[in-house]
Amino acid sequence: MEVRLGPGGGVLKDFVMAEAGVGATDAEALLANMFSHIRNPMPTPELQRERAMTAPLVEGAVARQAQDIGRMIEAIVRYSDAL
Amino acid sequence: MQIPDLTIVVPVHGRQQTLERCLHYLSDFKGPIIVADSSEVPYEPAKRFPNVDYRHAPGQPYHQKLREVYASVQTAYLVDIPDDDFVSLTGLQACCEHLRANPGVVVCGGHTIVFREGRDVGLELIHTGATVASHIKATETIGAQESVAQRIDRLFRKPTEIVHLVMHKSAALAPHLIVEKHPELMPIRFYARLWLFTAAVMGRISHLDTIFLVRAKEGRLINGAIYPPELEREVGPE
Repeated sequence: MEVRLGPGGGVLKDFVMAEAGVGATDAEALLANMFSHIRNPMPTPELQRERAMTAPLVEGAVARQAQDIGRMIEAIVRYSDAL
Repeated sequence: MQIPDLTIVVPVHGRQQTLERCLHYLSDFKGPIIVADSSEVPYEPAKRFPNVDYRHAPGQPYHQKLREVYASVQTAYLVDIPDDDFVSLTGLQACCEHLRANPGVVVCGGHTIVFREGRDVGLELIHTGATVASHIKATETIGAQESVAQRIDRLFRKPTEIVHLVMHKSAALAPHLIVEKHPELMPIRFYARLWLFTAAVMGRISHLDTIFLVRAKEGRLINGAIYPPELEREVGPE
């Protein structure tokens, strides 16, 4: 994918070269990869598969952190009349 | 709970009604909390919370506000939590431990879920970071072996949001310094990606299997529709 950088893209390229220690061509390739994914978002079936993989992890984490979550719910209830 | 190397930043603008709830909830956190309020009227009750450094700058632009606050942070890490959301303190602790143990990591977070308000208070386990499982697996298996190019490809192929995760101070500041010079990079759907991109260039981004952020409905509306094409704007390339 060819990327023609405007002023904002130019500062990003400079940033990549300075932070990642790469040359201009590699920096442009990294930017091109980002914009390519932005323009071609993940297809819905793949997104659904990803969600299905994550759901049991979330449920397990909620169970492990029940005390923390309980404090949040308590705060939501306590201040519900004020909102 | 004490996390000596973390500052919590709470940005506020015109929505002080949820701030007291937020600060009440965060009262178990014994480290520095900075409230950066650009509302027209100051929020006087903030004085009741001993850990809170309340800064009122009416009308101050978002990026200027956060850039100034982030630059003033004295700890190695910071997290930016909107006033209507909740951060898990155990999640914060896990992320900071991970950051300390892995110096190449510049951002660390976990699961983001949403809560319902009103009579039917509760959680919705429809996480907003739809693809976090893949990134958790990558954190556990790939670690430092991943190149910058591979990291950017993974993070953008399976999009995730990192704006409200624990960040190294330098990684939090970087996108603000860029936007300050180039405000055309600010449009809302691109800004989160700019943040993700700059952080991924600076170092590793880790996701842990922990509840990290519990967002209000508004957060779900913003993040739930991750990257729908109709909201896309062409930014960056000419």
